[in-house]
Amino acid sequence: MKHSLKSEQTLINKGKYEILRKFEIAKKEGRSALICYYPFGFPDIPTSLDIINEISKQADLVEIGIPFTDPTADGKTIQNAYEIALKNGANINTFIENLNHLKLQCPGILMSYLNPVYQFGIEELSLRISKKGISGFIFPDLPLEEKVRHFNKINCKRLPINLLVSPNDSLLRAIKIAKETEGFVYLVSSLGVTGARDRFDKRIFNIAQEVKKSLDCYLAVGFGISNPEQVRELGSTFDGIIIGSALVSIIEYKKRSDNDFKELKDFLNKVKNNTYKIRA
Amino acid sequence: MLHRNRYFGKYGGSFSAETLVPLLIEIEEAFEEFKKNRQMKEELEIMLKNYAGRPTPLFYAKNLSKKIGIDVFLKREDLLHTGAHKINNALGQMMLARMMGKKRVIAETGAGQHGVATATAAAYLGFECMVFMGEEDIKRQAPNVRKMKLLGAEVIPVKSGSKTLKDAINEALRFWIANAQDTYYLIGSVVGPHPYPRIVRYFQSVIGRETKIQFKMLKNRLPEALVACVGGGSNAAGFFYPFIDQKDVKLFGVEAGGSLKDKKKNSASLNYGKPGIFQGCLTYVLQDKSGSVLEAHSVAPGLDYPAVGPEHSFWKDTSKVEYGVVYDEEALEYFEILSKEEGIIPALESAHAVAFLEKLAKKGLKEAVVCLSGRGDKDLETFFKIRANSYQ
Ligand SMILES: Cc1ncc(COP(=O)(O)O)c(C=O)c1O
Repeated sequence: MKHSLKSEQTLINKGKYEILRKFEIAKKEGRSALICYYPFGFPDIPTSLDIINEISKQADLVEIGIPFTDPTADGKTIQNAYEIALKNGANINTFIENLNHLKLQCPGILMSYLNPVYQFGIEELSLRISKKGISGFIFPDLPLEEKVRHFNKINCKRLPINLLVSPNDSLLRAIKIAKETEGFVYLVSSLGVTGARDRFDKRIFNIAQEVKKSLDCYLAVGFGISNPEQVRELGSTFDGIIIGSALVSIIEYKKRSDNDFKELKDFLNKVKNNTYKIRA
Repeated sequence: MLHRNRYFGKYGGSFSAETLVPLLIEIEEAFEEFKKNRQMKEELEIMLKNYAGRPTPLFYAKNLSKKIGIDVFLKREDLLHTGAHKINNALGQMMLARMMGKKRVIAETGAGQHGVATATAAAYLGFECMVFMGEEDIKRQAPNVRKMKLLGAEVIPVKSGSKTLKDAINEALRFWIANAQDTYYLIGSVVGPHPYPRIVRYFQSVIGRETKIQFKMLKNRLPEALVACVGGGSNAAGFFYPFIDQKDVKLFGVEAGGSLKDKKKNSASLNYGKPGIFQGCLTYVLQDKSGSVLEAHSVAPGLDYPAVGPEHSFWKDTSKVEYGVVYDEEALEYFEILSKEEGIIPALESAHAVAFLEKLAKKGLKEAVVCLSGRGDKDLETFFKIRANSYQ
């Protein structure tokens, strides 16, 4: 899959190429790819854009969360951030209005519940954001069957959609999803919503192993990864590590004096260091 | 794989977190098995009869008929055990939970009626039960909160968002995602991802089936029209479904328009919303231009929901059902009228359907059957707070 995408410059293929290339580079450097999530509009619109730009200097991919009124797959941390962001007027339309302030140093991925994208129109949205360095989508409320039904029309001019796999999935289903995803496979670390936790579902290791056996693809793990130790632990199995709520928490508790995001940068440095695999 | 047959026209589907998909598939399998199993269907039928009190009467409301100038029949779901149609669905889905070997059921509730029905069925059938309820509704429906606690259920106050029904569903979904293995989510209306809209409509269709037989016994024909209130749409779906292809029976769903004083805040998603993806399905949703879901409003907590079951969206677009609007003030007026004329205190939700009769009479209709989905005990406090001056 990852070798065949160089030529045709459709939006899907271009986006896929940009995303998978980052995994390839990380692999060559002997580490897992670092994927960071941050919500647009928190604690306010300009600051969130600064933070996203800052994150993109360290991360391999940056997921930008579009605030939604009913984030059913998210825990308290992101729920609160979205509530504040919505009060600040952050939504899909104001995100588009602010695209010029986005200065991404790595490919971006738009993470949104489906409704805002459905209202905006996925093709128009893809066209607008792809010009500003965004290479793909993640939709937490789009399972395999609905992706196939709604987004697989031929000639659909949109960015690639990265699908999620859950520890609840059978191997058969996990492999089906891995075949259908248009970038990497987003493996959910454990049952539950987003937010820090200290244990992961053991089944994910088996799923990762078996999917890799039957398919050439990249797997990233996310949900609840909050410290550098966990990054090291999971890095030995997964091609990518996704960190979200932990970054939001740092900004949430940020001291007033910390204007240049020192704490955030320190955290990202530590995390990045731990993405390097230790050779046995 | 999720079933192909998960849409109603373009509406419905299964837009849920991947973690829940294997469960939704499992529930669908249990449901298909249930439908084929005569023994289990009989068991449910006996429970509905001896425990819940079915069949419910079809009652000719002579005084109200005279007052409004249209023949009114009431399908008395308010006489069921726990006081509303919700028990039909709670007992039915509890059988699916048992087939699947789950020990715990969770539910959301707005008016508290679905919460009480679920807590009741859980007490009777031996399940652990948790009910998610918005803080705003806990305040408005205190008697039902006490009932749920007495029945042994744990009531979880929901503090997020508008603190009403939609937020209770969000929280129930979040809990379910984390506890999918041992928990059955017993959803209370024809909403959410497939297969729920079909399951709930199936268990509520007993309302329409009985009505058809009872009306035939009475008049030896079908009624001219049916009227039901629409929150998520379960009493309406169950009432309409057996008549849906009967072209000579007019079907009217009644949405809550909120207060006449602030028409912007309402719960009439079919009338004022547009298609969107919300809480697991594609359906009409009250939303702004950016796709943010709006806060609903209705004096009836069971109607206070910014979306509607996907099958109703399909019925609206295909003109199988006509959907009207009744405002808080009109519902309150008919809450009082039905009490005084017939000695029946309706739920504020059901009072929306009753109030709509006036509009049907003006349109020249001669006869209608109203689904009186529940009784009004739970709403007395709300009513007397608003009418404090007229009753001293
Ligand atoms: C008495 C009664 N009627 C109607 C409703 C609305 O629900 P639905 O539209 O699913 O019938 C409720 C919901 O709580 C209710 O309690």
